[in-house]
Order: sequence, then structure tokens, then C-alpha cells
Amino acid sequence: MKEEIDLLGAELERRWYPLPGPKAVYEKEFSVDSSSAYRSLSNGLDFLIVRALMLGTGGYRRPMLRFEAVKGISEYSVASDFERALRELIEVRIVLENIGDVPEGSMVLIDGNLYGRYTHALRELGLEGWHHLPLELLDAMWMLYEECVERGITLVGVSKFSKTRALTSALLPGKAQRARFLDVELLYRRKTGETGYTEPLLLGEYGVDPRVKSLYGSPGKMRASLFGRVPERLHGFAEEVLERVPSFPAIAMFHVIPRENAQPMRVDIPASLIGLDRKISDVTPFQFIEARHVDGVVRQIAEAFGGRDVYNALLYVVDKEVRLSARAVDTVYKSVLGRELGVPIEYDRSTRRFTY
Amino acid sequence: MSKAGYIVGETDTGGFAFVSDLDCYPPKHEYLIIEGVKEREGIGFKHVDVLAQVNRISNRSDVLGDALSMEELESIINRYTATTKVFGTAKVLGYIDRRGEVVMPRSAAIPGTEVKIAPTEMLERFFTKNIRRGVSVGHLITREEVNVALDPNGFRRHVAVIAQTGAGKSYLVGLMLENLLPLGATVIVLDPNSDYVMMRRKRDGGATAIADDMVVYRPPGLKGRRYSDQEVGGAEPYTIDFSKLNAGQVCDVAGISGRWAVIREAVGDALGQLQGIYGPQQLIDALERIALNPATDTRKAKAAMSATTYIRRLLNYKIWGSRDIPLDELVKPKRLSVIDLAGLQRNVSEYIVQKTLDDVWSLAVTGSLEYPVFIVLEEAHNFAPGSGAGQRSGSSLGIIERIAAEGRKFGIFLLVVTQRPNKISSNVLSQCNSQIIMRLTNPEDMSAVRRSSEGLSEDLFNDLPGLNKGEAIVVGELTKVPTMIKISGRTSGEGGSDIDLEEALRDALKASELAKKMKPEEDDDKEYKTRW
Ligand SMILES: Nc1ncnc2c1ncn2[C@@H]1O[C@H](COP(=O)(O)OP(=O)(O)O)[C@@H](O)[C@H]1O
Ligand SMILES: [Mg+2]
Repeated sequence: MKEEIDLLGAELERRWYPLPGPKAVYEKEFSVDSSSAYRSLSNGLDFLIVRALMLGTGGYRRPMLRFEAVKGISEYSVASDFERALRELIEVRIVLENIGDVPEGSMVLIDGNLYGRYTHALRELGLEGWHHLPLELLDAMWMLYEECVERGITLVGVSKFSKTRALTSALLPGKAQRARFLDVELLYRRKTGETGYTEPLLLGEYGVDPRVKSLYGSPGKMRASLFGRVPERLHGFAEEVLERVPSFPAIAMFHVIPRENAQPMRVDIPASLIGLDRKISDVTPFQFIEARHVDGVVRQIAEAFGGRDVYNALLYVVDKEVRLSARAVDTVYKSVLGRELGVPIEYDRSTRRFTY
Repeated sequence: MSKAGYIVGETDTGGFAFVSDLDCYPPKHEYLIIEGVKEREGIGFKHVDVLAQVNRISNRSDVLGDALSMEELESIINRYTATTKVFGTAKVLGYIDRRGEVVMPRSAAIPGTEVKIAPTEMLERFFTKNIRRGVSVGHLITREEVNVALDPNGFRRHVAVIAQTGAGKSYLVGLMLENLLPLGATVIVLDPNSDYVMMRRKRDGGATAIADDMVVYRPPGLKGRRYSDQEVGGAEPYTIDFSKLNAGQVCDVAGISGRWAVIREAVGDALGQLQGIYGPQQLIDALERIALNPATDTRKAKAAMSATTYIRRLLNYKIWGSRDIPLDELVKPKRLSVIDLAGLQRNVSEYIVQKTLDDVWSLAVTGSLEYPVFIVLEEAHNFAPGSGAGQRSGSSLGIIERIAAEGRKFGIFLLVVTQRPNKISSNVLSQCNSQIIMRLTNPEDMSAVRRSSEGLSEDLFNDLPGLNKGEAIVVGELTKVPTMIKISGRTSGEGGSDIDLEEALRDALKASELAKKMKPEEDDDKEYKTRW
């Protein structure tokens, strides 16, 4: 253990950069986040409210709301997969819907990591009627990435609590095995009290199931194997989406410590948006890229750091604002929906759940 | 009709909370409408438009919480305009039923329902009972375009105008009189501060519409009046015929306490010796005769001597004479009589109030009062003090309480004006079923108002200290529901209004500078200066 951390520490020094000057680069910033609330109704329906919010500098604000009622889901993991997929989807959709308002040269921040969204979406959802939902997400992400390239918009995922070992694994000499340390653990041990950022690492095949990789180029087989329960009428759509899977842009990932003793943040940027034409399928683990590619993004993120709780000003705000307070759900939505659906909404008390 | 927000949370028949935003939120006191509230009627339903009034507006930011450090706040504020949530609560005022009456709904509003700013036309119907024949006094505080007129019938139950000094009581009463008079009213104003003597004149000069229907009565020969008879537009002199005063009245006017029975008795004895027309000097002479008469027992002799000390004070009063205020003039229809009491001794004013009211009362109970009479009693706490007021109960208290209790049966209606509701007889205040309350901050006076006023709800009560000058809450019979009015539109001049202190000080400064200039030039010699 001692040895590995020392090895990693030495390697980290070579991949560590001081923060560039404090000048922000992107004139306009937007941020996106979502929240959801789950209720089990006494008539056996599970009822999900998903809300997304897009904010921008200068008071820009666009909300989006989605309600879904599904037959009672008994498995917790299915419920949370469903919820997460819907949230990730609505976060992408809200940017797509409002992309006309985003000027060229803007930065759009999404709370969370972009690479994970992609890898998670490569298997069907275990919920009757919704097996295809991850495909919708992949489709929307594809469109979003394309739009961003077209319009000169930089889409950035920022996460505060990342459990990845991508950096530590990349730093390990030989690169054969998976590192025992989380990236944040290494940074905590070696970089506490410093500021700076790590050399960006390109993520391509790294987190993709080998089974998936073997199916690249055969969308029909891929559909049958990964999305076997998707109904026939959606096969065409499914294969169209899956055919694009290998061509998704690779993700440039790095960690940044914007202030002494601040928690490191993980930042994801599609390679296509920083001028690199690299696909998921043509990046083998592990490739670093030159730090200058992300210089502007680092400046911006360091600038937007507010403090321990406000690790990014705009993301902090959007996170706070999007939260559905339990009260809002239980009063406004409940009564509005009760009227809309024509049935009084009563919760099944035993299965109340909240997720934010 | 513009959107004001949406009803949220738990509602009840009396009120609700709503969520709004910075662009459309209604200000405090604004009127809201909830359209089409489902209300039970018999076995079915009807849909009614319910009026409500905002009683609280608050803003909140979920983002800019107090847990954030200054640095964190700055990082947010520098790049983002944090949204502010606007919350409000409103109190339900009721809806208008088929007969035009205001009724409280028996159903609560449904969360999620939109609330709108109430339209002008609805507000007019809601607050004014009789739009065409009303006594116009101003407009809703929050809605200038909605005029409010008081129901003349509301004066049947006596009216109290209560507010601290300077809040605008006299302005309002003058305005009501301006508009009551053309309806044919007979009004007698008992005016201790010359507040009403200028009502013949418009504030900007010229005669008011009521100038010819108004008479000012004032005692002749009082020095130092604020407004001369000429400025007032002519005044009728009035005096008191001393020889018509009975022993009790003489003692009251002279300030001989009711506890000094012997002294009062001596005054009675002395009066018994006088005949025809006489004045205080003749009474003193009679008292001295008694005191010096060796046949008088020593106790009474002493009392008679003491009485002279009191009666002697009356010699300086300029009020004695033989010109009574003619009663038949006072009760003429469409007549405003202002009895100027300014400059008179307190006991004398009390006597005049008592006598005037006694006279009108006698007419009334004998069935000789042809038309209703409105009596304005300014500084009413002085003329009808409460038992707890720590003062000698004035000679006018009895008749005022009696009129308050029974006057309306005989067509005498009081307009009681006071800044000390805590000090006024509760027998009087509680008989005033219509109340107009303006700014009030003294806690004791506030609780007195709360005790006496049924119509004043908790939140109206809490609004009292926040009212501005000229703003009033009307409860009782004058309007259909409690109403917040900005009083305006008075044309006639005010008498006792505040002096413009700033201007007065400016004048003083000028005078002092002038005085300095007129001093001889000072010598520049340093030595000379240092010597001083
Ligand atoms: N509704 C009003 N609009 C404009 N000025 C007013 C109003 N009410 C009162 N004022 C002014 O405020 C001052 C005090 O009013 P006043 O009626 O004498 O108060 P109060 O009788 O309660 O002591 C006066 O100068 C008066 O002109
Ligand atoms: Mg006054």
C-alpha cells in the first residue's frame, strides 16, 4: 500500500498544474440541475415528479417539469434507476429545448459526470414499458453534443463527490491493474493545502463493458443483447441510436482544487467541444492530453468557486432552486394533479420516498 | 384583471396563503379575487367570486441563505441574480350575494387556484352600500380609483372617530360634514380648538358650497384667537346669562368640588337671596353678607367666605352676558352650527357642552325636534371622561352618556372624536357602533379600541400603528365590510391644523438675523474683544 501511494504521488507531480490566472474566459454561463420526488399512491400507482432548471448569468431561468405515473415498482433499485434516467434525460432535454438562448462562446454546466451518463445508458431499464428509456437518453445526449459543437458552446459536467479511479489507474506504471486508491484519496493525501489541477485524461473505452465493445458495428445484435425487452415497434429507433454508440465523443476528465483545502472537483468535457476529434471507441485507456486544452474551463471553474458549500456558484444556485421541497410536492402538485387526473391523490404512507 | 399568484398550502374559509413573484405580487392591503369558488347553496352548488385582502407579503431566497459566508454569497451574487420567492397571505372578506349583501363563504379556496387583483367595479360594489347617496370620504388605500362613500344610515348608531393627534380626525370630520350638510343634515359642532371655524372658506380662498348654511358662534371679546371673526367670515357672539345658572352649575363652573358640600350649600343659600338679572359680583356680595352676618353659624360663615374665593375667579371670565345661543337656530335643517369653545376655561366649556346638549335633549324628548341632529363632540374624552381617567367627572358626562344610550331613538346622533379612547367613558364609546379608526400607536389606547370595537379583526388591529396620516379603517355600519380608506377631497379650510414648524423656525431665524444686523458694528480692536 505504502509503495503504491508513493508511486502514485510521484506520478501525480508530473501531471499536476498550477491554476491559470483568475481571468474568466466564458462570458456567459449556464447551469442545469434536476430533482425528483417519488410517491407511492394508495391506488397502487407510483408517481414521479421530475423537475429540471436551467439558469444563466443575468437572471436567465427556464424550468421544465415532467410527471410519470407507473404501476407500483417493488424493487428499490428499479425505482432509482428509473428516477435517475428520467432526471438525466430531463437535464439534457432542457438544454436542448433552450439552446437557442445560449450564445456562442458560452459554458453550460451540468451537475454530475458526463462519462457516467454514457456508460450507464448502455443497458435496458428493468421496468415494464420503459426498457428503452436509456436509449432516449443516449439519443438526446448525442443531439446535445452535436448542437454544442455546431454552436460553439462548451458543455461541462462538474461533480463534487466522484468515486472514480481513472486517474490513479492511469498513473499506475504498467497500467495493467486497477488502482486501489480513488482519485480523490490520492489528491487528499498529496495535494491538501495546494491548488491546481490534474492533466486531463481522455476517457473512451475505459468504463465500457467489454461485451458492449464486442458488439460495436452490429446494432442489431447490440439491441438484442443489451435491450432485449424493447418492444418491436422501437427496434428501428433502438438500432439507430446504438449504431452511433462507438462514435460518441471521448470525455476529457480532470480534477481541480480551486482553493487551498477545498474538496477536489471532477470535471468532464466532451473532447469534441475542446477541438479534439476523438471518439469513445478510439481511445484506449489511458491517454492524457495537453493541459492547455482545458485552460479556459479551469479558469472559469476556479473563478466560480465560492467556498466550502458553494463549490460552484451557479451550480449551487441551480441545485438549491431545483429542489422540490417536500411541502411543494405535498400541497401544490398533489392538488393540481388530483384535479388534473380527476382522482384525489392519497399517498400510501408506508412507501413514501424522497429523492433529491 | 391581472394575475397575482396561486393559492397554496392549507386554506380555510377565513383566509389562505399564496405564492407570487416579484413581477406580479400584490402589495399589502391589496384586494384579490378568487373567481368561481364553489359554494354550497341548499342541496346544490353555486359559483361565487370571493374577495380577499392581502395582509402579509414576504420575500424569501432559498439560495441566499444565512448559512452562507460572505465570500460564498459574493461568488453567487456576482454572477447570478438569485430569484426571490414571494409569499403572501390574504384574509377572505366575503362575496356579494343576490341581495347585494356581503356574505362570508362557507367553503375554503382550493390550493392551486389562481388569485387575481380585484377589479375596480367589484370593489366599488363591495365597499359602498349606497353609491349615489353616500357620504364620499376618499378612496381605498391600495386602489386610488375606487371611491368609497359612507352610508348615511350608518350614522344612526353613533360614530366614533379615534386616532392619535395629527392623524387626520378633524380633516375627516370636516369632510364628512361638507358632504352630510347637502343631504339636509342639522349639525352642531362643539369645537374646543377652533378646528371647524374656517369651513366657510375654501382652502384656496373663495366661499365653500356650505358657507351660507353655516353659523359660527363664539364668545365676544376673547383675545389672541387664531382666526379673527373676519377671517372666519363673520361670527355670532354668544354669552352665558349667569343668573340662569343653578347652584350646581355655578359650583361646577367655579370648580368647587362636589365633595365640598358645605361650600356648595353656601353658594345655594346666597343664590337664594338674588333675584332678577345678576352676575358673579352680586353673588360674591351675597356670600359676604352671609359670612359677615353674626347670625350665621361659624361653619357656614367660613364656607361662604371660601366660596367667594372661587366665585371671584369667574369675574375674569369674559363669557357673561345675556346672549344665549338661540336653540331654534341650532336645530334648523341643513344647518351647520360651530360653537367655538377655544380660549374658554375648561369648566366653562363643559358647562356650554352640557347646556347645549341638555337643550337639544329637552327638545327631542318632548317631540319638538323635527329633523335629525348630528352632534360633533371633539376632544370627547374631556367632556365624557371615563371613571378610570383619574379626573373629576365633568358636568357634561351625564348628558353625553344619556344621548349615547338613548339619543338615536329621538334622532340625536353623536360623532365622537377623541385621541384618548382609553380615557373616554366606555358607556359612550361602546354605544358608537360605527367606528373610524386612524393611526394609533399608544398601547393603552389601542387596547381600549379593541375592547370597544367588535368589527376590528386581529389583523386590522395590528395595522393601526402602520397607518399613515389620512388613512382610516372604517368598521361598523358605515360600510358593508371593514374598509381601509385614504381620506381625501376636503375643500373647506381647516382651523386647528398643525402649524408649519419649519416655516415658523425660518421666520424666527430671519428675525434673529435681522436683530443681529441692527446691532451696532463691533469694534475690531483685539484688546477690546479679549476683555470680554
Ligand atoms: N386625508 C388627509 N389628506 C391630506 N392632509 C391631511 C389629511 N388628514 C389630515 N391631514 C393634515 O394633517 C394635519 C393634521 O390633521 P388633523 O385633522 O388636524 O388631525 P387630528 O385632528 O387627528 O389631530 C393637518 O395639517 C391636515 O391638513
Ligand atoms: Mg383634531
